[in-house]
Amino acid sequence: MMTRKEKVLWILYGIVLILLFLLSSTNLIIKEKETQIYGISVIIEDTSDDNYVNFRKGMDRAAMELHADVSFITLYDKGSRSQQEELILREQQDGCRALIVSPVNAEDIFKMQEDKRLSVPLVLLNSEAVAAGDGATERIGFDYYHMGQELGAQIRKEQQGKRLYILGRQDPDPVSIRFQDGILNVLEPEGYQVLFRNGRGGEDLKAAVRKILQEEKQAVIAALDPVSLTEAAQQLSEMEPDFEVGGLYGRGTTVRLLNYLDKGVIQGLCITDDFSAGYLSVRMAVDMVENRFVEDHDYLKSQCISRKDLHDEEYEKMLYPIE
Amino acid sequence: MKRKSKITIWLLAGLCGLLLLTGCDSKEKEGEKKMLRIGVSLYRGDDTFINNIRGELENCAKEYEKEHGVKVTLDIQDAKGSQNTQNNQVERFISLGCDVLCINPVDRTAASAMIEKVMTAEIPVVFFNRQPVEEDMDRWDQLYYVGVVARESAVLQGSIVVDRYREDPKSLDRNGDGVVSYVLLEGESSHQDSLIRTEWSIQTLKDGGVPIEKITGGIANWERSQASALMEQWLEQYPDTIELVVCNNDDMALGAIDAIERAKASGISLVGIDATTPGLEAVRSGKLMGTVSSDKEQYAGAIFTIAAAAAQKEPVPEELSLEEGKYYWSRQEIIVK
Repeated sequence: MMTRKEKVLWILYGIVLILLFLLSSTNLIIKEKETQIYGISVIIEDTSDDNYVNFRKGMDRAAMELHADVSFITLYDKGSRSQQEELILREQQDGCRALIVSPVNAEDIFKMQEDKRLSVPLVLLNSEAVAAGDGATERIGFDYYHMGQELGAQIRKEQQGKRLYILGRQDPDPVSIRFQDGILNVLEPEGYQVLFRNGRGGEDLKAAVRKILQEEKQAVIAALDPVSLTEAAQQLSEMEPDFEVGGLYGRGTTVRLLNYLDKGVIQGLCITDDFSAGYLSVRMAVDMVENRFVEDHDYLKSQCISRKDLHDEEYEKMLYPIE
Repeated sequence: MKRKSKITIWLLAGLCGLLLLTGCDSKEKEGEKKMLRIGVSLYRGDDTFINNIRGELENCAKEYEKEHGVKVTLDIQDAKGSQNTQNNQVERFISLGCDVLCINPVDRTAASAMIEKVMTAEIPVVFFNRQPVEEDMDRWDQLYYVGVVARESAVLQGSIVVDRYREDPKSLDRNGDGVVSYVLLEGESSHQDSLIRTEWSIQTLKDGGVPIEKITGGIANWERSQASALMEQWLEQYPDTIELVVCNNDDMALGAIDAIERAKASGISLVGIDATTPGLEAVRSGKLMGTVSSDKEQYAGAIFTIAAAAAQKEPVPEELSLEEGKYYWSRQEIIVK
């Protein structure tokens, strides 16, 4: 026969068990914080993400940590202002909470904000334009003018001649123009003769490189964008050894470009910390959605490197980020 | 009587409600979805062939958007060679509400866990490049596979060498001893294509009358860096002996080329498979004797078309003739300079 004291103990034991069950397995006592998932759309100015590989890695990391659902969108035609505008409006209509845009033309986007057609928070990538309207806008990116100056200084240091061929695409994007201005800012006052060559795309750019080398053996070439640099490097690596180039320089962080640098086809390469750009842009977007203080990031890290720097620990972290 | 009519009214109201609900449901099912979300998981994003397919998939998505006016969101994730990571990615795709998944399995023998999850969530899957075992594929009628016939790739690769030998035996038998001495770079041992490619490539050489002698071989797991390390070692061990390098894919062939260039060796011919962008560059520049192209546009096109049809709950278009209603084999061709 159970005593009264034992009965009370058993009842208490039962109550404790029930309480523990309610605490651990249900939402009744401790309310679980509901995780808010924010839809964020990233729209770039290009048709492929070839130059955004590390950016995407950073973006994916931030998406996992900050519970964001990030869509990465490319254009149907490179540099199409109308397509980018359509995609921005489509994403807004489909309910994205913030936009990260590498603008074809930042003025178009500000105009959309002014006209109240664009109302979601916006993070602009690699744009120096300043918003005129009252839309919520933040900026993040790299100082391409300074990067151009650094590359100009490297060319001046490494090359004997005073002639430089600048290779780029027809209708260059604003980033390439800033990069070019930086190079010219250093080399023109030094008396360099600068010759411009351009092409529409792959074969056109390769033909331009062949023509440069026919005009001048040991020519020094600076490519304004990663595509032009890749085409130039490919062309040089396929040519006979007697077509030697004096030096090939440019910017970009793709694996192909790094391989060309490692093989000595490229002499100087300006690299950027794209992983941080991807991570921070998503974080800024989430902060803006949550109306939190958005940290200002001025310009992110970039550096001009040569072959010997490729296996430097500092640059390896930038170029091959651990996801 | 009063009670009876009340019951009748309630029953009628219930029936109307039910009809209304099912009506709404069927209306949604009949109409084409205006937005497709496709989850894509790659076994390793740095594999050049897989990366080429990924690029083509993105192009297909854009084409589909333009053609059908349906927004397509491609959620592409890299499993980095970890089946565990891929399982988590599949869970994430399901929780994000993907309409269909395209999976390039890390371990083709471990697809059952993923299949279990997608079957529960009723999300169709198009597997590609690494074929899950038959028992897994047979578990559900909404599982598809897109790939190439490994034996065909190997026979085509072998015939590149046979043709060259018939044209000019000395171009392969450099030392003139009447035998072509070769080394072999193989893919992962767990991949169904590795063994088949090796076996049939060599068999084609024998059948084609090329006198061959194997010096050595090794597994480089489809990777350029591993192939480069192996080749470097073999060039030291067997100087001036290797005349031909048979590689299970282009990345490994490029790794072998890297080692040959570093060692400043010459007179070695190489053949690959896949026709990746850098592989084609190497063929154009003469560093690679030839490769086998699996028509990536058609390959990715098949993956996307099947995925879109499955997501829209439509039958797969007839022009894609599926073997057993689930397997699609992409065509292949030889690429030489």
